[in-house]
Amino acid sequence: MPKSKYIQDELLDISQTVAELTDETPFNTPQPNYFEHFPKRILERIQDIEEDPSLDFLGNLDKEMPFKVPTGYFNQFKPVIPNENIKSGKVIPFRRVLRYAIAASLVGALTVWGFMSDNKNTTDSYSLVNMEAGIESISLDAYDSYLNEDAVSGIPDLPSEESDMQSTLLVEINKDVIKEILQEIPENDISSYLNQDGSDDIEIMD
Amino acid sequence: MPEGHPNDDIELVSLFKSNQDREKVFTLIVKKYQEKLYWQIRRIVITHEDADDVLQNVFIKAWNALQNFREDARLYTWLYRIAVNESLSHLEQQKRKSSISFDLVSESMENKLIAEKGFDEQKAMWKLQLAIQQLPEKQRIVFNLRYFEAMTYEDMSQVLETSVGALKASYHHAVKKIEEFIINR
Repeated sequence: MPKSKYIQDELLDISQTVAELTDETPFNTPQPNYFEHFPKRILERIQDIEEDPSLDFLGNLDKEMPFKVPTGYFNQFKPVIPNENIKSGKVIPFRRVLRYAIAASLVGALTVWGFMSDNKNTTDSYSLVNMEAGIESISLDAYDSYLNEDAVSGIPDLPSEESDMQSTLLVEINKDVIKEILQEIPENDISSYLNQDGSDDIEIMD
Repeated sequence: MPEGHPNDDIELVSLFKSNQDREKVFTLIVKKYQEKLYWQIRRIVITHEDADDVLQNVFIKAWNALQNFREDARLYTWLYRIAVNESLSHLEQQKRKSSISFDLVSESMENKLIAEKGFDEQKAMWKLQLAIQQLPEKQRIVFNLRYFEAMTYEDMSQVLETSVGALKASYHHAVKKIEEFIINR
């Protein structure tokens, strides 16, 4: 039997090789009169099954259930409608959690490694070798001055000669002494001193 | 084209449902579709004995379900759907009985072909059958329905409950695989 034209055209678009093949079925035809007798056979079998339903093995398999349901279960069954206000928990697959856990562990490990390596560099800069080289490069004078500075700075400041004199003056000069000094100075000199304005000071300052 | 006349089928179903001479009406349905269904089943299960068993199961199921058959459905595609499902169930049962993998099932089907009377690998029609057995299950059925039955994609869509686009793609892949098999064998 030749293929329909639309089937042949479609095949030509896809594959020339398959389009050239025959669509004949190579199987040997069933015994003669098979199709003539088949309707009678099938009706006899249907009749047998209707008389003895156990013969319809496949049909029974589909319908029969080995499980028992408690009496009145479906009459009393009420579906539980979930409350919309209650947010249902989100199910997170374990694989995703594991992925994040591994990522977090890696980040943590990298951070610790980075911190440690940074500390190691700092320690290296103060290593004994570096310190020894540094000490050798310092001159003895500088070393002595450093030690003296350090010794002086460690003792509380001593009063200097000038400050000593000031403190002595402040203690020893009293009102009577000041009156005697002022009596010795002529009044004209005092008044001229007092009359001096700031401009003179500025000139002096300049 | 093996498409039944819709009006005839509607009338037959209507008569069957009215309980007027059900056996006579059913005989007409069997006579109309038995040969087409037989060959469709035979191409899937290969041997006559298996095809005969499956064909009987198809019509027994049809007898039991025809009373509740929807008026808007088509008898032709409905019977084909039962035939395809029963054929696949039959293969599945055989696979379970022998506990063999998909590859071995394919090999087993090839052996069944080789055991068929008059098998000749040099003949193109046998080579085509061997090539069809290498296809995945779904592609095999799509190819058979289209190539041998000249079924439209729309009807096939009802039989296999698959979109027309997916069926066209499936047929295209099947033809390409068969071409490769034929050229390389």
